[in-house]
Amino acid sequence: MTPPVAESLQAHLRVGDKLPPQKFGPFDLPHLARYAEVSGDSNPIHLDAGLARQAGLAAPPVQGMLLMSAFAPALAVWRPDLALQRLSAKFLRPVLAGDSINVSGRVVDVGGGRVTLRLMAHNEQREIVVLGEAVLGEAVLGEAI
Amino acid sequence: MLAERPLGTFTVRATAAQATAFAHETGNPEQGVPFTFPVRWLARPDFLAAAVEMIGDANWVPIHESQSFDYRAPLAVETDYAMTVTMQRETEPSRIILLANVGPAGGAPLLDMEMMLRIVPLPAGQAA
Repeated sequence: MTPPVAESLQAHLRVGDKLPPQKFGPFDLPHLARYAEVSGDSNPIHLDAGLARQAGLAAPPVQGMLLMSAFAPALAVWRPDLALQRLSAKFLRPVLAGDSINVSGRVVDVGGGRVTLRLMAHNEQREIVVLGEAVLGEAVLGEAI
Repeated sequence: MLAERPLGTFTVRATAAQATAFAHETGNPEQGVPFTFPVRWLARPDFLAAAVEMIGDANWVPIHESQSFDYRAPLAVETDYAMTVTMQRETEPSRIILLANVGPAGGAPLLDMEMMLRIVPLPAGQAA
């Protein structure tokens, strides 16, 4: 007999469990242009080096949403049996075109059939560039997103 | 200071081709509507025009400060949904915030989104 979802999660996950680091990128300018196309993000600062300089950046910044979008596949690799339900992110520092990020995380709460993780993305200088939080559950949403 | 303006309710839809292209560029599984795909629906020229009007100036660039997605159920490709959007304006510091919910027309929302943009002024005559 399959144990209830809440029991199953609490039996297999603990506060402090880690989401293993995963690298995404490098995000080059052609990738930023393709993401702008598929996301509808027409903010020219991501593609125009001159405009980026006016905003005080040495190169166009990677779209924050492109960075945030790395969390979902990282979580899916970690626990393909769980469905992502909530995801939030704060963009702390710009990631410039050509750079990569490392995504990692840690379980901060398990209960009620859900697991909450604190997520981080670091740049190549090991600075935190995106801080996030994810809530995953089992089967509540049907198929994993 | 906070000002708020309802922007309306809009029909949104992720085509299979759009969802697949988005998934490919973000490394997400090519199945269903990618988790962060609905941000695309907030990239509308009329929303930008509303922001310009609320700010009272076009001489700025938006910098994405934060974003959240809160799903009650996944969205399906090739399906029409109703998206209701409200825009908020903060002045100290200068921000535009978009609040949106997405769901079947006349039904309960399946997704809540919040997008917070920091407004960075440009030198005069340098509108993005």
